[in-house]
Amino acid sequence: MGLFLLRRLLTLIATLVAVSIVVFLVMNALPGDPALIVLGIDSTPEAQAALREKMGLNEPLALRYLHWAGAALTGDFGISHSFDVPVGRLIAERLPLTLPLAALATVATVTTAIALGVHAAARHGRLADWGVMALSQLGIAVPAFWLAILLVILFAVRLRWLPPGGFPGWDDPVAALRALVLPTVSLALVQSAILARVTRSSVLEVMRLDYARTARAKGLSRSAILRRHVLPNALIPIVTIIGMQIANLVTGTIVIENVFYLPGLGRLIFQSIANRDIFTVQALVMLFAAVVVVTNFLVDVAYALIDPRLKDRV
Amino acid sequence: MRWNAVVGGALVGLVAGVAALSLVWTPHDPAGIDVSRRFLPASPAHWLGTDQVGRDVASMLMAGAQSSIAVALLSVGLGASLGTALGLLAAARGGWVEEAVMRLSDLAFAFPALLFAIMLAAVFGPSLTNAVLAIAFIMVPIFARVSRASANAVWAREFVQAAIAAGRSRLGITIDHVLPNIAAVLMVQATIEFAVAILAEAALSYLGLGVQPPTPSWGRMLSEAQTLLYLAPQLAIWPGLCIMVAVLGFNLMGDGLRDATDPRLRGVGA
Amino acid sequence: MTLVSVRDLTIAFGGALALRALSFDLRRGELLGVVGESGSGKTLAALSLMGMAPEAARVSGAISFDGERVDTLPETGWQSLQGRRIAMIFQEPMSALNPLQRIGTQITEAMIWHEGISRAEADARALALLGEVGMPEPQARLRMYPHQLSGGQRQRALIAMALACNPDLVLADEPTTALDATRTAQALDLLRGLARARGMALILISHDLAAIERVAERMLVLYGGDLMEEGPVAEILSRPAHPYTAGLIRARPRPRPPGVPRRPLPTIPGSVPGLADLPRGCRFHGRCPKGRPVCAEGRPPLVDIAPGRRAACLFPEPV
Ligand SMILES: Nc1ncnc2c1ncn2[C@@H]1O[C@H](COP(=O)(O)OP(=O)(O)O)[C@@H](O)[C@H]1O
Ligand code: SF4
Ligand SMILES: [Mg+2]
Repeated sequence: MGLFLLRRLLTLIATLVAVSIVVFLVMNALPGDPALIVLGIDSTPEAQAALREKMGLNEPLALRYLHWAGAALTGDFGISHSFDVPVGRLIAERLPLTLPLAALATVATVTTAIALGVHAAARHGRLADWGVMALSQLGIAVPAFWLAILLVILFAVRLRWLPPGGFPGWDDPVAALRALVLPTVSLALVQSAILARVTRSSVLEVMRLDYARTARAKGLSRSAILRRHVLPNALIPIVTIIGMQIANLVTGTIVIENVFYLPGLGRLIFQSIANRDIFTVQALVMLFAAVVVVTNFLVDVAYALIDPRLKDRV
Repeated sequence: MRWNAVVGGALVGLVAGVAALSLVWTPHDPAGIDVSRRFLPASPAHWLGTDQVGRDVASMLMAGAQSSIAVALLSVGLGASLGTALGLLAAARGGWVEEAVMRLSDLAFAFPALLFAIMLAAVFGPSLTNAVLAIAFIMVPIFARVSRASANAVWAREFVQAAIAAGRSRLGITIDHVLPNIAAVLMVQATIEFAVAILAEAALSYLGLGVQPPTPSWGRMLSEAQTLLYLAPQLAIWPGLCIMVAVLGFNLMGDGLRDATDPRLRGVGA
Repeated sequence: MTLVSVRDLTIAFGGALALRALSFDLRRGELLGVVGESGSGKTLAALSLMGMAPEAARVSGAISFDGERVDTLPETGWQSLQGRRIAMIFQEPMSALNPLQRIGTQITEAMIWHEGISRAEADARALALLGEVGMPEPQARLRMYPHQLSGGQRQRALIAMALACNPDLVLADEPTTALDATRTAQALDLLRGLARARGMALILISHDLAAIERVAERMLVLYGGDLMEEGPVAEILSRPAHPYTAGLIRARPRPRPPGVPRRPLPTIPGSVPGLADLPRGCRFHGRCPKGRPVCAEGRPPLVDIAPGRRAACLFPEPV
């Protein structure tokens, strides 16, 4: 177990380093001068030179990478030239929105999907199964941002139950949660459609296996068989998909924050692109990619916790 | 024939047919602005009415199908070719080449299409080309993995072993034996990835990182409609419905094709 | 005293009959062998006795257990018999165990479920059971996972699981297919010993006559869903009445003394037809060396041919 974790941890670090190099190269070494990008092509050469100096662009690429990565490790992502504040501060300000949104969406996705998927599998071939499958086939085909718009039309424009967008801050937790309801639902519905299908087929697969039959031969009730023997085993592929979906949900917040005008990291990325604020974009892309990589790491650790066979493997 | 392949094929045929038709004919000019004809309701002249600047919604949707299909074709084609080439190379060479390809594709999974598109947009400015590249980029590791796994299975088969013994080159075997044997798997994957590409294009265009005006696109129509939800909510309905139909079509067709080529998975419906 | 009584058990998949009016009795503590080629309906018969016939199957006939009709029981009624009074040992010891649970947990599960005893008490009983089935270092094995056990040890764990609630009847469906010859013999002797010691009835299902001979007192011969022959093991093996049984006996692999050259094994000609292609009359017609046209006309009745022996053949061997 310890060895497995250590190996996995080393892979995690190597992947993060590789990801940071890719991000840095794309943002810095591709044709196109960052100073030019920031200032626009009609800026004066003097201004460009000054900015190049200020951004440290005259140093060799490798050295610049080391500076950036070293500083990033301490939470220092440089200064946002459009907001004129440290990028780290910008991120810290928006995190209280994006983080709860992603967390809420993840919880909603996993609970809905597992409940629906297990329900469908337990009623395999019957109406409930058919209904869940048809709904999830539809759900997979619906773009999350369109669903968001439809929800706004229904619940904000027509019924006026919930706000159409914006975020009042956490000072008023009820208002804050109300503002997050529609974004959470739009993010979770599509992802849970995918996960429900995976759950269903995984549960069905395990129900066919010999040890499920052994459990039945013990005289256990259907629900006990499901709970004790089928679900834990079915969880292994489900966890893989959950890992991929957390990545989708996190990048999904970028889109959904834009639909609902929520001042989170997703909005920040777009403001920064519009402002040609390259340090901020670079930091945010790195952050999102890191979340994806770390999630995959956690999924592997979760495997080892669920499956004793992995603990003995190195 | 399975029902999902039939329904999926019909939906895909509908979308592709409309896209093809829009190349030569649309009821009105999809870019024809006429502010005197704003927000018209549906009528025989304007089947789905007009938008905030008087463009014919039905015509825009038809032309939007063209953008969707074109972006999906280009990005899946590009990503699938590159990914399959890498996967075949990995399977044919094995050893460190295979290891390198797999590690690279692991790495690529850290960048969802949206993140990659954002990077490209930040450096080069938003454009259709960048959107295609970003979507193609996420396809590469997917096709690399699928083709490597299936190709490895083919390499292990007897007739390939016989070809090796007969002194055929790896390239020759790959082209004559491996590729034809994994073509079905790749077709299924490509169909499913078509759906992914259409969704990705819509999201990128919605965010302003994809199809640029004045080219019509479902995603952009949605972002324009979103500012008018109180005034003309119907404008936000149609483009989303089109995206859904196209994605549903490709997904169902992919499921159907997979059932047809891999009977083991029939009825499980992963 | 009769423990199990099966009458006219018939199982159909669509239009095809996988079991045709199977009838037999089992006494308390009796050791019964069921033999037949693959596909002859042995597993289906055993599953029916567990109330676990496949959902796709149409089942008719009557099954009584300990004097009561059980085939009409609802699912919850069966659940109170399964694992408590009737237990089953399945074929594949690797896949029959839940890979995520410790051996101890899996053995004690039925005890706690049916008898509501405490964890500690169940653990103590599981430990004793593992000792009884000859598991080396039982204390340590209780805390292990299936993948950490050898094939033979897994089979012992499965036997311990079946014995957990001290059932009246154990069904062992080809319990030794995954084991080598030595371990097969050990496992069979263990099963026989345990059944004898506990006064437990045992139905051993096997396609291997040697296994039946080693364990059972009485045997049923199944082919194509029909009971072909029934009687004491020793008598049937020395003087089979049914041509199918005779074919099975001829096809037995025999230990070869050193120096004697290998000879091709006589086999029953042809192969087992699929369910839908079985002849309507005698199921063995077409493969039977003694078959005549009349055999295809109707199902040969199962008739008494000697005290305690029955066979379903129009032209049985004299016994
Ligand atoms: N779930 C099922 N659906 C359809 N046919 C089945 C099913 N289970 C068993 N059968 C058929 O019933 C016959 C008897 O099967 P089985 O009892 O498993 O034979 P045995 O255990 O003697 O090898 C076989 O022909 C098999 O194909
Ligand atoms: S009834 Fe006829 S075919 Fe059947 S076993 Fe007897 S002799 Fe052979
Ligand atoms: Mg069997």
